[in-house]
Amino acid sequence: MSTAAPPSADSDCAIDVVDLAIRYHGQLALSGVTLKVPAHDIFGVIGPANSGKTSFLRAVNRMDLMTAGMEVSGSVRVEGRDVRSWRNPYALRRRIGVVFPLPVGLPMTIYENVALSSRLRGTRNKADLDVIVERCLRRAALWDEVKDRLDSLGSLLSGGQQQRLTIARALSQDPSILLLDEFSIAVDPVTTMRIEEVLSELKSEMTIVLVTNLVQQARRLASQTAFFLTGELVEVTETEAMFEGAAQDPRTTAYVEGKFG
Amino acid sequence: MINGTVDIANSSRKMKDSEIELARGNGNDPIEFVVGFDALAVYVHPDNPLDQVSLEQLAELYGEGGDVDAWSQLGVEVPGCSSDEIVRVSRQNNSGTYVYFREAVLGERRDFRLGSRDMHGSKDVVDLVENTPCAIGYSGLAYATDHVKMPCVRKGEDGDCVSPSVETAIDGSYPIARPLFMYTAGEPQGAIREYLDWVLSDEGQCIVYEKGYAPRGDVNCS
Amino acid sequence: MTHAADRRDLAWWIDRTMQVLVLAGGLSAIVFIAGIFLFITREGAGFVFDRFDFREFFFSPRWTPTSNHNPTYGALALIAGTASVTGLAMVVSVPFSLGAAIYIGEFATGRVRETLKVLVELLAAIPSVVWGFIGLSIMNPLIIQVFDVPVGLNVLNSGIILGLMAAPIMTTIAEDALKAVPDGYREAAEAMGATRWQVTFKVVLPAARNGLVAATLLGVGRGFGETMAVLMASGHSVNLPTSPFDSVRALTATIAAELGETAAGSDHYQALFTLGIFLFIVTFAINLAADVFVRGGRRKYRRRGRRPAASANP
Repeated sequence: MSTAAPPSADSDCAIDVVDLAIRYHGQLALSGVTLKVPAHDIFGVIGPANSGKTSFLRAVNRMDLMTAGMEVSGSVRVEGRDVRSWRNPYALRRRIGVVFPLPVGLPMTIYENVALSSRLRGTRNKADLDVIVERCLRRAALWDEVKDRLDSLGSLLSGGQQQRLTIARALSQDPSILLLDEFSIAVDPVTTMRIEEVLSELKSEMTIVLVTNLVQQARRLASQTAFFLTGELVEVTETEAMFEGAAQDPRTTAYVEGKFG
Repeated sequence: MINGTVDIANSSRKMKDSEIELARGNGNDPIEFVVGFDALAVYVHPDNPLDQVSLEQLAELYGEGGDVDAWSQLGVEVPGCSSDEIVRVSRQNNSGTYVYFREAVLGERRDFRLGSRDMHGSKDVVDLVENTPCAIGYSGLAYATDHVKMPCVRKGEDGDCVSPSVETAIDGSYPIARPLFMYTAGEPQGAIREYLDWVLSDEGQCIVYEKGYAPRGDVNCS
Repeated sequence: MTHAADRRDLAWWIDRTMQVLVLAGGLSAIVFIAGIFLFITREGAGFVFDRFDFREFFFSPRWTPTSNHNPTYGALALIAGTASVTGLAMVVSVPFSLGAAIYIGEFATGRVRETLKVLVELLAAIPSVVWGFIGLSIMNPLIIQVFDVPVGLNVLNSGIILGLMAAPIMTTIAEDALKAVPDGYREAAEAMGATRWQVTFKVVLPAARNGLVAATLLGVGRGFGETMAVLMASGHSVNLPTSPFDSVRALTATIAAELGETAAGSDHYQALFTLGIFLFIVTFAINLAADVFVRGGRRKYRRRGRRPAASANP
């Protein structure tokens, strides 16, 4: 990847990162990350454990504010604006949906899980909420399985169902950016395939950053992929090129071929 | 004493016949010794203008069915007590002080009125009265402090009003003074005998006097 | 024929011994509770069977056990005293302890949090007689001055004292309940753009509800059982309270004040043990209820954090 262009010039760029470094209690976890995530596309992030992938996501939606000892330097621009210039970080986070590795069904009903975000923003009307809940559950490919038990506890669903519930919940925020952090770790292969289909459909509407431990998943979904290794960005390359031996760095080729990691 | 766990016990009231029966049932025979006298002083807040009180007034104040509830009924207005209500301070219902006060002030057949603040210790009575302008209480003279006032007590409307003191307790002029007892399990022997002899000796009786109680008889204390 | 390695070695014997020892420890709790119950029941039994007048005990406020001619054993005023003091204590301690627990658990960080936790625990270490002394010597004159009432030893005084006494244990248990809510919930809700308060109010508190109810119930149990401070601060006056400024008397305080100078085996003695039986049953029921709530809370999260070994980890 080339160096960053002036931010506002490029409206096709959803996330523009320049020289990002992250420390935990002074210990460097990630450094020298400069990359651009194109809008309305799926951007893959691969790399072995502890390579800094999750830290990268946390910097994008300012989770550093609630993580003791986490310091961020460099700049992260979301849709042209530096995330640290937001006076109300909660408003920033509402524009960014997040799916965590372990499915987290909040301890409330399935309905309330999906309606929560709208409620927090002040939607009271039951009919409006009904529409939102159904639409989001349908798009997350969960509606048919739960439509008859919307009032049962979200935390009692199976792992795969809960993960789709968290995707529905993220979609209920109506986000322009969706961050997924190794969503398939606790999900069975069939559900994984269903979620991948959902993501392919969603990319026309929003920018998706897919951090994954499965290199083949990145190959199936992402048009560009970044390779992180031990706290550094090795490269960002067109995914197909990366998998066909055209990676810029031999370590990338070795990783995608399964030689380590 | 009744349970047979001790060889000697102090009491500020006589054991009841029923209690002596219970003790005998448990295999010990309590022997009674009078070791001194105690005057029960009436305590009020130092700002209270009350100088004297009659036994009859105390009875109507503390006794069941009594009608004295307000300081104005005793002819005084107490600064800091705008409600005029008399806060009765008493003792828990099985203390010797409680039983003796009932005997001396209310008589054999009359009970205390419920609703008094029943303190757990003689000192607590004085502490509470010290801090409470509306309060009146009774407790051993030995617990008097500089921060409470002790009105004199008279018998009847015209009787002499006698201030509580060791002297008035000894000469019998103070109306609410009582004997203090020690009980031994059976005739005292050995160390118990020696201890009791010492308590009843001039030396022991002088300590009784110094602590604010009245000795059994005339003793010469330097 | 036995295999050479199949013998009972030292580790096997230690394991067996320790199992027996911890079993004995567990059983001792049952033995003690049953023993205490048997003891107070036996001591109170004579009264309950021969002298006990159900109507007098529960509906008469006349507690005059040492009357010469007509001893009565009405516990209504004592029950009302305990209930009113405990009730007011909860009014004081629930907001106080929940607020403290929420602040410590959800908002405070680092040193502030650790310091506060130590301070709360220190508060729990103050002996009850010291609290009683504060009630008698500081709160009494203060209440007289502030509210212009005749005496400051009353429901208000002992309720505040008891509330402050119950607050530390309630804070600690409530904080444990908040801590038991998985961090994933907070992270998920915050990532959605919920504010700290929204996370606390909409997600954490409902999830911790059972634990919080249990904390409150244990506080109630503490209030019911507390003796010394209530004895000193309540006024210890047999009285049916009609306002927070009335002096009252608690069940526990009555036992503590009278048992020491009551002849063993007398009606009065047995009546005091009957109060003890009553207290035992009430506190037992409260603690049982708290336990049921805690269990209910645990069941709710049984499925959390499941990690099915589904898709492979490369």
